[in-house]
Amino acid sequence: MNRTPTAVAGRTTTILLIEDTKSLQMVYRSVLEGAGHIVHLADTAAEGMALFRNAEFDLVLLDLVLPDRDGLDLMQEILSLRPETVIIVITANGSINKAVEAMRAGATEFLVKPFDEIRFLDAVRNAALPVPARSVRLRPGVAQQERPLPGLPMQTTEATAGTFIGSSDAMLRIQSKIASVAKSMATVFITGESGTGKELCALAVHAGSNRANGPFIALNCGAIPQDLLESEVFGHVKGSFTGAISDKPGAAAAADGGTLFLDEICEMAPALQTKLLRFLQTSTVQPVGATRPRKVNVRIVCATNRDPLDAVRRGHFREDLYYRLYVVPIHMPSLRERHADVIEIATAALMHFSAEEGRSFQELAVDVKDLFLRLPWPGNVRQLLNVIRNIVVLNDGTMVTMEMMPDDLAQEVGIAADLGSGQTVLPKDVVLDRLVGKTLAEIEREVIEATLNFCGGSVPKAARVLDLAPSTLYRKMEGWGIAQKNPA
Amino acid sequence: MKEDLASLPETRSQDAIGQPDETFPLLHGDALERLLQIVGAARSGVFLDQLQADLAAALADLAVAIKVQGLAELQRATHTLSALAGTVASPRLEAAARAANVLALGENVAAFGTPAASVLRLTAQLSAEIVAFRMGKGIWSEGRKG
Repeated sequence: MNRTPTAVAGRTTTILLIEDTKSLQMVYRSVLEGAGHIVHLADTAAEGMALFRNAEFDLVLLDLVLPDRDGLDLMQEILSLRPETVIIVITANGSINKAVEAMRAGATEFLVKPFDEIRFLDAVRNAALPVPARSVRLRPGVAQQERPLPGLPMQTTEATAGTFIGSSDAMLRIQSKIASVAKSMATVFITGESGTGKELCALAVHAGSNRANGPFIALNCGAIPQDLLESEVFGHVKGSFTGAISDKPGAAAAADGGTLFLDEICEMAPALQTKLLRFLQTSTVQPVGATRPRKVNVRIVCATNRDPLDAVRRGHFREDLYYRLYVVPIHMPSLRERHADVIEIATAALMHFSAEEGRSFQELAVDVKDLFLRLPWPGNVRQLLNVIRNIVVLNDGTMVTMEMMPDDLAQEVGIAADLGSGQTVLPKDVVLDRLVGKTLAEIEREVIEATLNFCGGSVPKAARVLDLAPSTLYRKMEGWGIAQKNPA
Repeated sequence: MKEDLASLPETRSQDAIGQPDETFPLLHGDALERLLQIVGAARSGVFLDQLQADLAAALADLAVAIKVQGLAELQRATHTLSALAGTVASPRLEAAARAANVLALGENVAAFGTPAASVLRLTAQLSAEIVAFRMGKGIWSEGRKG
């Protein structure tokens, strides 16, 4: 089997890299190709534009400083030709203002030079994900409405609660709750680990509501720079600050008549929490630089993978805002809590991706099913879908066999086997007794240190197990003064 | 927005980076080794050739930009040098190039002389250190082996 080892976390992406400095080009290219991506190179804006016109790319990596043309200008032409293009802007210090402008103009992400391998690959991986799974998903003026969800566990493209895959008791309860709350105007607060389908749940609430024909706007509060967030939520008027080259309505106004989904709500800066609270109380928005507020009719659905009450206790989240938002809570269960659904989801995803990729897969072998049922799936449904996507992209046949399993899954198998050895697994109540009395921060550190030890000190591996960005882990380790081992 | 966005990133970047003094090494060999691992042994020589060529080109561009006081050229050359220095982990050159880039972006040509001279000097020194690194490791491209 011809498999690219590091491409396991996602599908192969075809990338157009527009960078004029040859040595940097070589580094970026090597990293991307090493991760299994296909890279096309352009030294100049003109060359990049010519390539872009003649081929399809999943992603454009764009240096903002090019010899023949301003990178921002080039980006606008690219987006005018194909507005759905995913663009990551690369910039060095001093051109961050331009990067901010680029984000406002539709770039998905910007990376500040110098080059950081892990951050770079994370950004590419994130940007190449299907839209609902990506971190930042609001293009200026483009509302995200009901849409096909190629990467998520839905049997059809109808975003209705009934189409959640899974017949476990946990999922049936979720579906029932969604059906009950969808028709009301009540604010829904969705909690759950990363990858459990919180955005899908929000879409289901929207689709089941009376405002289903209105816009569904998703905004990831944690992924948008705080400097931009106010403008993203409430909009701005032309000339209100550097780079405000035109009026922009903002997510709250764009969601008028529909639903505004605020993901990672606990990451919102305190100052903006105050403004959000005022918005919830008055149903009016006042764009940055505007003199008068405007009334809007928006239903709020928000989500977090944290414990929101803990964020309140720690002073990170306003208590009054918490009580304003925490009206109807829905907790999305982890895949571990609904193991019975694993095979159902995997099979549905297999059929979906097979059709999409022109493969002929029909079923999972018995030992594959057995393996899938034993795995802990720390990345939840998203991880399961990535594994299936990987298998489908890199293999063909009618049945998925053990030989087709991605390399990274072997590590998961090792973890599952160790967990099943009895050596490390304690009864749940014993584990909890040991943890009770500790702060969440202490528990978090304990878990992270144990995972690092388990992964031989490899931060990228531990990050995968914990479903965290490696940069987050590095930051925490640095804060605790833990030395890191260099990945092999 | 209360904060002036235009003024924020540069200030923050400079604060974050600090101004590495003469005690900082001009080149972190470990970082360069890592880059060579990334591009692969077979292409290490070509990569270092290219890196030196890019540094030389940016150096020449900067010299011309200073002579003609061309803002766009100053911005581009310092941007490239900042990115190259950061990539090969040369904090002194990176900080100097960033500071010069900020001045160029702020169109503050009058204050450009001293930092530009520093960038020119450090770039030349970095190029020399890369040559020394290559000699120490015996890494040359195909055409220059032996």
